[in-house]
Amino acid sequence: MNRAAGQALKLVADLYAGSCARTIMCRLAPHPGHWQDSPRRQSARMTNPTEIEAQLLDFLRREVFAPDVPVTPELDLIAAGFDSMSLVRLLVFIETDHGYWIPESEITTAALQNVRTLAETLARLLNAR
Amino acid sequence: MPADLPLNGADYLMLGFDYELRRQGYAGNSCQIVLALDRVIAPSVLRQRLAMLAERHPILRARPGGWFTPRWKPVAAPPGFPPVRVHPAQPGLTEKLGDEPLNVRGGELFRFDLIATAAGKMDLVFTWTHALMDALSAEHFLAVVGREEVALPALPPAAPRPRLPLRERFRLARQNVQQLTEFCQAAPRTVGVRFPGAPKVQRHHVEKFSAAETARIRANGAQLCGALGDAQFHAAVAAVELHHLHGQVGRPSPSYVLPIPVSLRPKGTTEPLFSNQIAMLMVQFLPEQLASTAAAVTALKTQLAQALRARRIAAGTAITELSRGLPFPLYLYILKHHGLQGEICSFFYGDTANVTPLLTHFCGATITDFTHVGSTTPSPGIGAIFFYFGGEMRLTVFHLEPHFSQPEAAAFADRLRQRLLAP
Repeated sequence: MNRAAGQALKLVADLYAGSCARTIMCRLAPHPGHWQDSPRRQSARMTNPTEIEAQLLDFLRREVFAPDVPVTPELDLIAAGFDSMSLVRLLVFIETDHGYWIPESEITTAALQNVRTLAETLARLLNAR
Repeated sequence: MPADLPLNGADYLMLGFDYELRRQGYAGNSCQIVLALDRVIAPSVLRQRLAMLAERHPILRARPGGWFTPRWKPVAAPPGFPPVRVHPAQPGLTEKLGDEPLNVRGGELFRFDLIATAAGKMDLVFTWTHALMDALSAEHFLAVVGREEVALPALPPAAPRPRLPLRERFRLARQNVQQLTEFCQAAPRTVGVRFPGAPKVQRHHVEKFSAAETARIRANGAQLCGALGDAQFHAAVAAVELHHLHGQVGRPSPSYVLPIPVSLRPKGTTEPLFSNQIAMLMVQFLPEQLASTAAAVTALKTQLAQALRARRIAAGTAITELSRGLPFPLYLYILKHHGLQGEICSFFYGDTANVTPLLTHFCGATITDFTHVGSTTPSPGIGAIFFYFGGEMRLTVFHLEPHFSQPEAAAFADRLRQRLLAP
């Protein structure tokens, strides 16, 4: 009991001193998709594909494609030049917004057929977490 | 006289490497594209097209200059412009041409060499200084030069990239230097030692893969790295084999740093054409992370995701932009101060993906084969470029002698081949 109280006290002291990050990580066992890998964790909420699709379209227009590329839900992503680095950037964007890191292995070529299929895949994975 | 044109940070870094290579007795930081053509083309046609293009784009006959920030200064009539030469076929001529320095300070930023090969065919060797443009731009430039139409289109001008506030750029640049400092916990050691009396040459070796082998490599990449994971698979394979190579030549390193080039161009455009639109994401592999291809893939994926979270693309761009105000030796001094001793990278890695589909013909001749040859810096002394032509994968391994011998580099290329086929 005393030992547990001592550990808790040390944790608070570390927190106060600002040297706590590593200590906390050790105490809370990390797992894939854990908050320590996520800059901004939001509470898990149901996500519908339409909402994700709108977010994707906005992100792709802003961050990935040239202004004169018509980014529509039917856009063939791979043919339009979407590559592995674009995918990682997209996953970091999803993680920032939804607090969950989707492993790249979950994104298949079929999912990358167009923006709509990608949005459906992302919504399914986010809802299944 | 046309106005001066500014170099961006990546252009300047490439120019800095060019000066550094020349200072150490190498030809410079030049790259090559070799086109195999199914028939002979007339040099006069090529000269005429280049002269027309240079009228519209003075950067094609410019020299580096500028007091504080570097700029391209157009030269009215550089000697020998348009630079097109014709050679009889000789063994090893392409490599010899790569070892022939361009007179960059005199306004010779690129050169075309036409080599008549057997049976009325021709090889076209396009050599350009990397400071002028990156490999993807060079592909598109060749597509424009070699178009069927006599009237060439206007090439799009360089659009200025939105710039971050100075304070933010300094913050990101510090972050970049801090990452390099972290690498020093297991600082990479390359084979970059001086060989003052030895001949300084670059050699290359091309590995070609059949359509069936290419499909197998793509499947291996997809299995290990997921959809679109080709480039990551190639980089991981290169890292594993680099570790083996260092062990083989008796110079194992505490770690290996690979610069992963990231295109800054938005997808769907080739603009701006005459510039380097790349940022480098530095990735460090410890020897234990190179025990297998799968382990290397995991290490690479983890670091790439972390790098994007930490805005390291912006940080890499920021430091190169700021370096335009620094003399290059000072930039190297800063790195040395942080313990890297000028050894930034362990390997030169490039992945230009598919050759542009616009490049099927050149001045009326059909392009039957295509080769990218990169330029490596003395410190790593070895590099590789992966690309696809006509649906088949190509791998060019290039190395500096005497850092690595020809048999060592050939064995390295062969091991890369074997690991790509069976990771």
